[in-house]
Amino acid sequence: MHDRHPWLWAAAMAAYAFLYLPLAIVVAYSFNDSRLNVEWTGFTWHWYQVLLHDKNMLVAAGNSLLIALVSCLISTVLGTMAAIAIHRHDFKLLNFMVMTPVAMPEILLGVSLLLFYIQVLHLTLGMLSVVLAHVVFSTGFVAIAVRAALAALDERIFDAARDLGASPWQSFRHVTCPLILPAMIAGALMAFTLSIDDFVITFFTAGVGVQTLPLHIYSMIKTTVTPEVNAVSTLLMLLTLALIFTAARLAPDTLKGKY
Amino acid sequence: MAQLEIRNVTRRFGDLLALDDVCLKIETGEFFTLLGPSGCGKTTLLRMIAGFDAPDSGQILLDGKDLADTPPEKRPVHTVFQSYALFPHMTVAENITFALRMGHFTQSEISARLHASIEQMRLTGKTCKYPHELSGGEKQRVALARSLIKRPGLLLLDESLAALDARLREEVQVELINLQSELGITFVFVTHAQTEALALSHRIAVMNQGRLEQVDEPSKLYGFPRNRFVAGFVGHINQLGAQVLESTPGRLRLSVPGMGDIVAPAQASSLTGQAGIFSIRPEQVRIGIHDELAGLKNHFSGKIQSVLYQGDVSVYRTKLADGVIIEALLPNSAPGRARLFEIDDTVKIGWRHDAGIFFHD
Repeated sequence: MHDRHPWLWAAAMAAYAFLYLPLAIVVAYSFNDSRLNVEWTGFTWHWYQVLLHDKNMLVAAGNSLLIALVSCLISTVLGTMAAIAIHRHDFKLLNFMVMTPVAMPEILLGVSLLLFYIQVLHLTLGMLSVVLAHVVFSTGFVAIAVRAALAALDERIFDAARDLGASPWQSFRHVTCPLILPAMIAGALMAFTLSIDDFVITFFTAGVGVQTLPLHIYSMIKTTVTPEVNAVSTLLMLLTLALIFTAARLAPDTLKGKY
Repeated sequence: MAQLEIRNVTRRFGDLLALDDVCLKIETGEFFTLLGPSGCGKTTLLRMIAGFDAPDSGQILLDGKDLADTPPEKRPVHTVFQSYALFPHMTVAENITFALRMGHFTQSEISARLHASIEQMRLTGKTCKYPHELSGGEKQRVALARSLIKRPGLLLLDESLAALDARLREEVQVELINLQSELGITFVFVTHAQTEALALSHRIAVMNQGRLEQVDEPSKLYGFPRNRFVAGFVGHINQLGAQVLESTPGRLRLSVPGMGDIVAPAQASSLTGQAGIFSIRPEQVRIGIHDELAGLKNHFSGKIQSVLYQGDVSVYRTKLADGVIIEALLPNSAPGRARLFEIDDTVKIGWRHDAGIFFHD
């Protein structure tokens, strides 16, 4: 194709460059032996060593991981339950309610959650409020993945399970669950990824008590931009890429190939 | 006592009357078929017996017990689904033993039954395969094995041969008949294919628009359909508008527009002057060129309009002088000739005075 349309090829390349060049530069300068992100002066692991001894950074990273883990577990359970209910009962209102946070602008979600926590729940902002907020927006993503997997299955196999004497729980345990497991894992990884690098919603719901990795990086940038920011960004990027890659491999489409 | 009794079952889906006061008794060990066009309610009835749907009114009794409060998983009734509905993430062995694994069976009982089932269903060497690695016929046998492993009293088959190609279907039909007589389990089979129903069943219930039209043995259903619907649905049939000219014991004289008078066997309820439809099977119609049909009470002249050569038989459509078209089915058993008649041949057609049935309106 690109032989016939060199301009198309060039446009695509330009678009990819626009998307990935900034990322590449961030990664490259994390190895730069200079305090400034201006010119290349030589290769170093220095900034990764600085990172390893930066207590605040490590605390923030720990918080982020904990929040991501807990919110991903909760939203996977809730999202799966919602997907099954929507699929089985053609539950339009529930569908709408689960999917809305996915499409909602983050700023709106952040502000409204903040007001809700403070004015309605009188909740002290902290880990709990951040976890709840992350569950709100990631449940929909899990539900989308699981619903797609359910839709690809022959509806009759659930009838067949009951017909052959499986109780509703046995039917879920032996038939539904193994068949939607890849989609559940894909959804969970998506939820984890979304949680670990979320800034806007976390910013509104974290209060002063909790520092997460994205919030901490932002605060570092406000004072001085050292390549330490590049280094932590690189690590975060690696983690995210690994998770996205795993999620894509486990995505519901792979079901068709496997079975 | 009948093993399965359907008592005045009615089911509505919105405005649609899916089942209209259906009553039916099925005996132990019967191969019983529900036959009808799509949307006639046969699948709805099957789903009710399995427990996936419930009647709006009426009862379903199994061995004299009302099933209303028994969920599907507690009914001693298993189903072979049209799509087979094999569990895609389980091997053949896991699929077949599913019902046993969900119940309280010992490991040795499970493997003994699996072994016997694999042998009976000719699935040796396939136990570790997944459903997507099987052929259509193998999938079908796995589905059968899976439904039979718990030795249910009643097996439901929902269009279970529809997904097979024609050749395989015939083979499986023979296997099904053998299997059923071997096991002695009652089979309730749902299909829209009348040839399948005729070949397999001890008795057939013809359904139309939620009602039972006729319940009979295959030969009675084909030879003595009770009404126009059954006559038209089970097998091919020529249908001619007619009016009763004279009704004498044992015989009717009918006037058929475009053909004149014909003689037909009497129907108990037909009265002089009644209008209706005269139906005759294509294989009861004979064709000749000279005067060999002169001895028949009903004979007419016409021209062959089309020939459908089917190998073993040919269907000849003859157009009579006044435009009426009659189909005749003749075996191609004469050696050396592919066709007995050619298009545009002038022929005589005829049938015996005791052939055909008159259905008054």
